[in-house]
Amino acid sequence: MVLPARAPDWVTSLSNTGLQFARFPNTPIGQLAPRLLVSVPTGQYVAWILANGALQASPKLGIEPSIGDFVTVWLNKKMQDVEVVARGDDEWEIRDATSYMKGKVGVDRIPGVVLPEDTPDDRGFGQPTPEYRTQLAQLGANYARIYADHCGSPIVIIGDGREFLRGQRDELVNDAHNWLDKDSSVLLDQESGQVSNPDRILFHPFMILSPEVAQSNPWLRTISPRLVIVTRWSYYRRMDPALFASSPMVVIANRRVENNWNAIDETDELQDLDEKFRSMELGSFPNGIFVRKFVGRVEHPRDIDEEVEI
Amino acid sequence: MDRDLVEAHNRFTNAESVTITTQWVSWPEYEIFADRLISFTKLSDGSVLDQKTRAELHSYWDLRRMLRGTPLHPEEFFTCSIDLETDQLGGELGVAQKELRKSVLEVCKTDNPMRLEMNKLLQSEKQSGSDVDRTVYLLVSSKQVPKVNDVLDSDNTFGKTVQAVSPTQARRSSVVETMMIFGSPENYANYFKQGNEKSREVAWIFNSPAARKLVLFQLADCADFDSSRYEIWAGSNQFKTKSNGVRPAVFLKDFEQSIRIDPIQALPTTPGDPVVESYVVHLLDGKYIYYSDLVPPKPTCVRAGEIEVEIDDYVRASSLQPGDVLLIRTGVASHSFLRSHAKVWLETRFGVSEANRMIEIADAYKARLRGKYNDSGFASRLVSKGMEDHYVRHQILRAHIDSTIATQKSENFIQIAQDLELDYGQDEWSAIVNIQTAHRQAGHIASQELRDIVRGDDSWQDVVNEPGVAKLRAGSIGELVLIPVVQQPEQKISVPVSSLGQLQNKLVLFHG
Repeated sequence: MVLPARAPDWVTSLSNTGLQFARFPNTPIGQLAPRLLVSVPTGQYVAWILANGALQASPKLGIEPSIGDFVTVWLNKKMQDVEVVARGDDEWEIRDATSYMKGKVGVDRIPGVVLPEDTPDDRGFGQPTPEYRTQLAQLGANYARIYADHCGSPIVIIGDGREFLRGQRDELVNDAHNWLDKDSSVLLDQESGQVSNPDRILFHPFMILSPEVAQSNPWLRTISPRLVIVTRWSYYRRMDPALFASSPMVVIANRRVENNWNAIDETDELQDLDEKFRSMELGSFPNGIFVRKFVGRVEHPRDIDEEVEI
Repeated sequence: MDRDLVEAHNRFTNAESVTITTQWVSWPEYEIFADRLISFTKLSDGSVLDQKTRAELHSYWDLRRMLRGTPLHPEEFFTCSIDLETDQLGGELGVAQKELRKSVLEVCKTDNPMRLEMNKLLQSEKQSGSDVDRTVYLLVSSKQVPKVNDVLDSDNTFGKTVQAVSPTQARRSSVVETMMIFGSPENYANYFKQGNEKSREVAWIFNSPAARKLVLFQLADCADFDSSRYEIWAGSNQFKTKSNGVRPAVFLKDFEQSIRIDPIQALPTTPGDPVVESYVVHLLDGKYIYYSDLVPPKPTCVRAGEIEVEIDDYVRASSLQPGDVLLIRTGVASHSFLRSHAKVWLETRFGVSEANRMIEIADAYKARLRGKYNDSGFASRLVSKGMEDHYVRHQILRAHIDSTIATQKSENFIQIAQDLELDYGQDEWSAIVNIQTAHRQAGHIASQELRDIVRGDDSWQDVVNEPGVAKLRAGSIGELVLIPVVQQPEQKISVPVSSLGQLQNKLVLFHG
């Protein structure tokens, strides 16, 4: 059997779900954040179909940086961390060894995403290859700015078997290009092993991270990706409760995995939906895909102190 | 499973339009046999049967499983030479035993009518030109796969390749047009699961099907097919179902032997070994294990997955269910591998003498902290300096556990160390950080090694499904035991920390 030329219903509906959920604003600490359980007959490729939709939502770059903040920003043809400094009385400036940007305070938005205080000092940088920059040019004349915004508001996939996930992405991009949105397919086509390196978050439009990533990288917890896609319910349970908690999340429940019933039982008790979320229409799904809304409270990050056992 | 996009697409489209047909089949000789088997088992429940009678009864249950769960004729797998009078029991049991034996002889003279129905189905598919897929799956238990494939290989299957597959194989195989299921779907669930949990375990057969057309051949011991049992949640799945044939007039209700599990007595305390409240988890073959939700180790479960076995190592003891399969490390290496792996990691980076110095720092800290278990003044002093009482007590408790090192807060470590009369500062804290990193690395290696071993050879699945206890040699991390949970944990008792996660055997008293 050959694949249909156009995206089949299951792809269209899951892409649309990714798009709608990525549009949710981030939720403040103490409140209930939107979550979605997606029950599917196979977990294969689903995370990437959701990501395809999510990358079509506008990036959420958070609060505007201020002078004194450290930000991740596109500068000198790469994503990197720099400090925002004052330039005279009414200008800001960001710079590395060879390039700089400046603007007027209160007039020009300082670019980039504000980093958490405990971000490691030297995270390196994310530099697209010349070949990939050629692809990125398809995003438009100001592709660097568009790309930087996507990197600053990434889609994060939580799962083990990161090589396997990357293989699925390759196959989807190569064999079912027409199923994907034009821009999303470019953004998903980045070949970089660094998308699984937690230190490089905000340097790439998508990341693949392990459920335990916060144990060694507690600073990640307060970052707010555009959408978090968790590939199994057990991973959702295993994640640090504060990890990316303010972001909307979609959890995939693969019905061929024995413990997917835990997801059904446990979301029974997480149904304190507000009216807006409850009444939100998610569109139609073909028989075989079932979705259930639930919520998770955005908690303050706890001290990681002796909670980790090895 | 072919890990490709075409296969995933097929799985989604199959789930969209699955059709389920139930085909009732009458087999009077089987009905009498099954009825007498159930009656005899009921009658003998609680009696002590001799080994020979137990073996005979066991063989009849195997016979029944094969008859109801495959299309094989009795003569194709069962040696039917029973002397009705041999070793007959006395009294009422003897009468029931003789009747059972007679019914075995009678059923053995017949052919399995489900074979005929299966052939009719294959023929009709051929005539209707429904030949899009030559392979037809036939779901059987894993133990039955070789025999069924062996017999059907030589059978006329109307141009179709009938392939017997176990539930695990079906879950992972490429999707086909038609899959046949013999008997109640719940027969393919884990032995220890009960009621709705059995239906849940097999629900994927219908809501994530391996074939677009599912045909169930059902005898008198099957309940009416109720598709709502396999829904994700009420009203979710829309199954198209139809029923053919006439339901046999009799309905054979199965008898499940009761499993009686006695509570475990609290263990005597050992001086210096603190106790912690823990769940008693009862396992197959009279084994049991203690787990606490407060301190490690946590239970590790292996579960069936789509591509490979899923290993879930963050399970709460209180959430374990009958039929869950625990993965338990046993053997001397299971206690020492973290330390030995971590030591190698430290020596490689810092040299032998520096690694030893670091380990001595951690060991001295833990040893002194363990000694404060019964010293209430120690906790009070730290509380007066701003620490919380339960935090201090938790630190002391965890000092008794091999897999932990120390608090991850430098200020707390230095404060506690000073109250332990250890002259520790930032230098010693750096050593602790290095050891914690080394343990994490070791834990990661061990975890990966464990996954590779369990996934590398999944023959243990057949053993635990029987049900049984499987053992795997696991290199540097000791030996692994895979064993089913038989009861949801209810009993909580205080046990020494050192006994957590250790496989225990019930004492068996032999008489005479």
